[in-house]
Amino acid sequence: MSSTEPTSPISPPDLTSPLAKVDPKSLQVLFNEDPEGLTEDEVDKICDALRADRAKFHAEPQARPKKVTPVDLKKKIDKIEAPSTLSIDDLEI
Amino acid sequence: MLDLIRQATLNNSAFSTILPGLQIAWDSTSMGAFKECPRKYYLSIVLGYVPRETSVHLIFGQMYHTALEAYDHAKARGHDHKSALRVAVKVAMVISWNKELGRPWQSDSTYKNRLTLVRSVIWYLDQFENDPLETIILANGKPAVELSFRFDVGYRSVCSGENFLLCGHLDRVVKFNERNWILDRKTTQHQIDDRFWAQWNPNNQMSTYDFAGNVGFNAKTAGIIIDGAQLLVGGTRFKRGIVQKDDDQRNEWHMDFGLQLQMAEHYAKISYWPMNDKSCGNYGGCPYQGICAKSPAVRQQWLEGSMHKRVWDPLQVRGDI
Repeated sequence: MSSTEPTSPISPPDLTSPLAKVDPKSLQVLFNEDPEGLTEDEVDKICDALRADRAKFHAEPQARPKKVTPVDLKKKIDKIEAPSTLSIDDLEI
Repeated sequence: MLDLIRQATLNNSAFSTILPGLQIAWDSTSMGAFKECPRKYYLSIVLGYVPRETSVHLIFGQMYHTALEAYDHAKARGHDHKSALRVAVKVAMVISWNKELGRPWQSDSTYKNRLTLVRSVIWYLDQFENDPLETIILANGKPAVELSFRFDVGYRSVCSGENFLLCGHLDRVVKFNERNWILDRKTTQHQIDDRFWAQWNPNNQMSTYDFAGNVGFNAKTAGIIIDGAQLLVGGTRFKRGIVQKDDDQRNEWHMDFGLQLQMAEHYAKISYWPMNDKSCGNYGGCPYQGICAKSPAVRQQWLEGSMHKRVWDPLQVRGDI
C-alpha cells in the first residue's frame, strides 16, 4: 500500500524574509489595483502619503524670472540692428 | 449638405426642427466654438465630429471637477472634512481607473496624470478645509453644486420663430460676505500670475456664467470666484481670484450675444459656415486644421476616417436645475 500522506508543493511563507516586512499595500500597489474595493483605511493611507510633501513643497520659493535692469535692457536694445527697409512680410494687410 | 445637417441634429434637442442647422439652446462651449471659427463650430457642434483622442487637459479637468463635486455633495450631506475627503479621493481613484482594461488611466503628461489628480484633490481640499465660502442650499434642499441652468435669453429666431435659450452648468454657487458668487475651478500648467487672471475677463465662458448668475437665477450673483490650480511635477499650487462685471458690461455682452445669434441664423439659412483661417493656430492648433486643409470634395471622407461622432446637446442636464 502506498502512503496517503499529503505533500504540499507550496512551502509556507518565510516570515523572517526581509520581503515580508515590505508593506504589501504601498501607494504603488494601491494605485495599481481596482479602486472599487478600496477600504477607508486604504483611502486614508493614500491621503497621508500624498499630503506628506505638501508643507515642504509650499515652503519652496517659486522660480521667478530674472529681473532685467535698465542697463541690461539698454545693452539688449543696442544689440538689435534695426532693419534698413521693411520687407513685404512685415506688412499685415 | 442639408441631409447631412438634418441627420446630425435629428437627436439633438438643442437644434431647431424647423430650420436645419439652427441651434436654439446655446451654452458657452458652442458659442465659444462659433466665435472662434464658424467652420469649427459646424464640424464640432452641428455635425458633432471630434478627434478620436480626447485631450489630456479635458480628461484631467473633468475628473478634477467630478472629485471636488463629490466632496461638496458629501459636505452638504453633513460629512466632516475627513470623511468628505475620503469620498472625493475614492471618486478620483475610481473615475481614473479604466475598468475595461483593468488598469489605471494612462496619461503621457507628467503634470496631468492619475497621481497628480489625486494629489491635487487632497491638497486643494486640505488648503480650503475651513473655507469661508459656503455652498448655497437650493429650495429643494440640495446643494448648488454642478448646477444646470437654462433660460430664455431674450432673442427670437426670425426664420423659425423659436426663442433662443442660454444653458450651462455652474461648478458651485456660494455665499461669501453676504453675497452670492459663482465658484469655478481651473487647472493649468502655467504660473498663476497676472496673465492667468487677465484671461478670464473678458472671457466667453465667464461672461456666460456671470450673465446666467444675474439673469437666470433669482439670487443675483456678485461675480465669479476662480480657484486656480497650478500643476507641477512635484506639487500643486492654488490661488483664488475674482471676476466682476457691472450691469453696463452685462448689457454689452447681451447685445453681442444677440448679434452672434443673428450670424448663426444667417449661416444656418444658407447652410454654410465660413472658415476663420486666423484661428487655425490658436490654442496649440485647431484639431480640424488637417480637414480644412483638404479639398472640399474629400473632407467628408477624411472626417469619417479620422474623427468620431458625438452629440453636443447643452440641454442635457448634468446636476440640478
